[in-house]
Amino acid sequence: MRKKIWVSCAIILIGLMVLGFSVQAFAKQADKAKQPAKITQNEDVASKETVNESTGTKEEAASPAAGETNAMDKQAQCPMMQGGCKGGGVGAKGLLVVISALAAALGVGIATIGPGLGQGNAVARAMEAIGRNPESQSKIMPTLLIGLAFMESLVLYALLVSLVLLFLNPFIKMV
Amino acid sequence: MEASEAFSYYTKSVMGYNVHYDTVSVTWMILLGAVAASLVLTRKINKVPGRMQSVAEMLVEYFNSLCESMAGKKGRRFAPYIMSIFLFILSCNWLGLFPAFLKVGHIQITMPPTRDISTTASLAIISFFAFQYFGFRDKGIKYLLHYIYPIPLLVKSLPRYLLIMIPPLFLLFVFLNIVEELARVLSLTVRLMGNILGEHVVASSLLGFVVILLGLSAICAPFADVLPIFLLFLGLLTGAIQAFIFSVLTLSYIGHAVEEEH
Repeated sequence: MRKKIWVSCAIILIGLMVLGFSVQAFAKQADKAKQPAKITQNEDVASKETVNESTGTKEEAASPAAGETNAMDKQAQCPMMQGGCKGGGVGAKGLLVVISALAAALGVGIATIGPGLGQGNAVARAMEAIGRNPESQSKIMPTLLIGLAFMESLVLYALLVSLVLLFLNPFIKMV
Repeated sequence: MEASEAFSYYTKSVMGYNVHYDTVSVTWMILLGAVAASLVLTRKINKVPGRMQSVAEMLVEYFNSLCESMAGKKGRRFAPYIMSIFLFILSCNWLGLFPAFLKVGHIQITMPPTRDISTTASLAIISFFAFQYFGFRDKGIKYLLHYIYPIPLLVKSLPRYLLIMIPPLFLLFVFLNIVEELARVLSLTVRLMGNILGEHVVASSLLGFVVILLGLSAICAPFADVLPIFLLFLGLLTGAIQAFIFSVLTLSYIGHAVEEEH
């Protein structure tokens, strides 16, 4: 009976591995086929921009606030910079880097408040219990350590997000 | 000894996948060391144990009693798996405390492979499969009732006319229990990886500071020597506690999956 279970588990595992491998190979091939489409997409965006510029210049004579359309014009010319090509725009990438650093620093800092209070509370109660009954120390200590580890892991979730923001930021490739 | 080196791996692509060569080599080293140690320790087993044999017996007996207390009367069968996990993670974590940055080619040897999320994730996934395996082996197909946990209790206690309210709760409880199962796996991996990685990065940064201190003047030298001692102590404690907690939590979840009295 036990041998049947092992054989079936092995077959299932090998089947899953083959499935995963084939899915991944199929996705890679689909990725390679997608790349020429990106270049045509860029050309479409460029043609849309010229259309916008022409409508902007037509509206300039009609609208009373000339400054607004000038700003829209500049924005359309350099869509990645905030404030136009010249004149001290921060750039979307710079803004992203700054906010990522700030979020990473504040995230872990704020995340240590709650678990810190909780762990202090837990250790205080454990000390009290041991003081009341010193013989029960060998039963209280492992339970205390397990509880502390649970609380510690809450900080580690925030640390994980901070590390991802600092070292493996996925938004930098989008900007 | 820089913080950026503590967080980077020597990767090469093998058949399309990026493999962390240093993690894999250190893991294999530890496995070979464990096999060699077990062969040496079980060469001559006397009835009156010598020193090393009595240490090993103490460890085995402690884990057997722990398994029995946490997983029911027949809990001793989980002890081999739990102890293997504990010893593997312990040796992984303590390997990162050797002060030398030994490199063989491009691969750094004295680094804890558990700072890589792949190692800890694989251990947690193996534990996940262990929960399902032990659950199905002990209870058969009735282990699937585990995924609708509070409902069997409700069915026994409610009067007949309220039983119609249970089917909507079915999907909710299945969803909740599956999410809890996945959260256990995630928490096991992140807890171990976060502790060891954090320790490694902080230790590397502080030891880099030590090099600067030594270079500054002769007065700073005593302070530079004392710091690694504190780091070693902290590393020993953290590594041992995290290994213990991983194994004890796995044991507790297995016990939860196997227990009879719901």
